[in-house]
Amino acid sequence: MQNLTASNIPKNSQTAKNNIAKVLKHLLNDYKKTREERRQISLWEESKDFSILGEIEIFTTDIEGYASQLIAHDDLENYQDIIKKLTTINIFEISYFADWYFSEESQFPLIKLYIEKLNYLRLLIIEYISLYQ
Amino acid sequence: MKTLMENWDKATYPTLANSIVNHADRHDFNNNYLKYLRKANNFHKKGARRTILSDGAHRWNKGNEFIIKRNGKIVSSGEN
Repeated sequence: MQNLTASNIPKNSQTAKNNIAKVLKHLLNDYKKTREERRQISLWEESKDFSILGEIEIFTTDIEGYASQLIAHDDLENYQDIIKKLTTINIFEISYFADWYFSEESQFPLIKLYIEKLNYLRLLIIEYISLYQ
Repeated sequence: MKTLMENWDKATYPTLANSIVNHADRHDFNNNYLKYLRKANNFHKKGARRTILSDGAHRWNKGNEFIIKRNGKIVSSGEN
């Protein structure tokens, strides 16, 4: 494994940022593939007092917003607040969401893959800030 | 357009415009941002199912369309 040195930190930082940008771009395409599953979930949750689709949308907004900040700026002014927020917005800690997600593992494969990739992006941002800010 | 944009929440994005563009692209309004803003602004809550999300935001769903607001500002809107 390559050691971090003064000469290669900027390069690695840019590589990490490029990877985050790629995952962000993939997520946009992945989301569009989930339309049919989203329609099914929408019908299913009509009788519930919570919204799985709403939680996914808010999770998406929060994570993609931070990823966009990171791509737009080399130095994040409030990076400690961002780390704190990213650590607390773990969608799997919402009990009704976790119940839905783990109840029928074979159901809604595309939307679950999308959520996993989104969660991966959350972890990538945390890692980037921890290493480079 | 400026008035419509003022109804939106910047959320965690670097700019308000960035938030709107990202949401519009995701919900199939690429390069038609004014149409996206107008559609969200014209969402009628009457008869829509409302749920409160884990972060306190409110989501209204009517047919295949939804809108999410936090502190009176639009966070997202689109089709399920």
